[in-house]
Amino acid sequence: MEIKFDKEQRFIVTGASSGIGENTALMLNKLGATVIAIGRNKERLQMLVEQSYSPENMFTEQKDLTEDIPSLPQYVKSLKDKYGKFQGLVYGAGIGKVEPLQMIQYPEVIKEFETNYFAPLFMAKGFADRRINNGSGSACVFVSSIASFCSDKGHVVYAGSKAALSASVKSMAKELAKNGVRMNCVSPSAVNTPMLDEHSRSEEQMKKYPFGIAETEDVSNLIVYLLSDKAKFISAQNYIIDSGGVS
Amino acid sequence: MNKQQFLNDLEDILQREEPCTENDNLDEYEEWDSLSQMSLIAYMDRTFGVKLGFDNFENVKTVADLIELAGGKIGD
Repeated sequence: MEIKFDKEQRFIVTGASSGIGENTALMLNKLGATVIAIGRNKERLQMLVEQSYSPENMFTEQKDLTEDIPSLPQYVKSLKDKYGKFQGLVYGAGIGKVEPLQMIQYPEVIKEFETNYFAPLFMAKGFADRRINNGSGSACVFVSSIASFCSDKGHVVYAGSKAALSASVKSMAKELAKNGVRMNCVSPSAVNTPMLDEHSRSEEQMKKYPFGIAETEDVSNLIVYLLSDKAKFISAQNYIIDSGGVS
Repeated sequence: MNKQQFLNDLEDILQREEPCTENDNLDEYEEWDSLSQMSLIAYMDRTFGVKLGFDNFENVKTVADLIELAGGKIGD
């Protein structure tokens, strides 16, 4: 099986300055697509361009998606006016704190939901507009988490925000099917990214992962497949990548 | 709200590339479907406090008929 894109197929990738988003942006670019990489860290976005297989097809946009969430649909439209219609969206931005119920504080709960749920919802609203995407063949992938299925201690808020995202993606997928737009989630367990906390790297936790901790590429491979026409019959799904057994 | 503002909002709700006009026949809009009707129900409630159901669309043929559904709250 060979997955190929062309430069007229433009993908927005959020969370592109690190982790799964970064690796997905590089992979899409290498396979021929044009990538609009959104991230908060300007230096890391610059590094992304330098690492790209085709730097001329890797565009970067520095932005904190949570600074004005209601205006995100207009932001997506402004990107369309700048680059052209989009083939896909990858929502890879995410934050997660390990905090037990006793320690949660309302402002931090809101902040986590802003990044993990409200922002992807409004990015999706922007992308879903018929005037913004390429219609049939377009696809979105949202990075959810194994925590949305079976959360561990300390993931009270994180699990809720990711479960909310996964649940909404199912509804979005049904709304957009008529336009030929597919929407899916991937739900990884521990991935070797800067976001992975020390708790998840502990010896006790490691016993849960027969195949070890996933690398970002292990998740990007599935994301890119779901964006490609090889997955043209797959929508409204949420794929677990849990190294063989956490769930 | 005047008619032109409503027509602009309708264009966004239906996500049309072309502008909407009062005499347009809704059956000729490929965007006119149950999902856009659901959006319009939410829009009428939020904007005018007018509560509609899918049944209200049964006799609607044109954009002008949609304006009628707002119960006089869309002026010239």
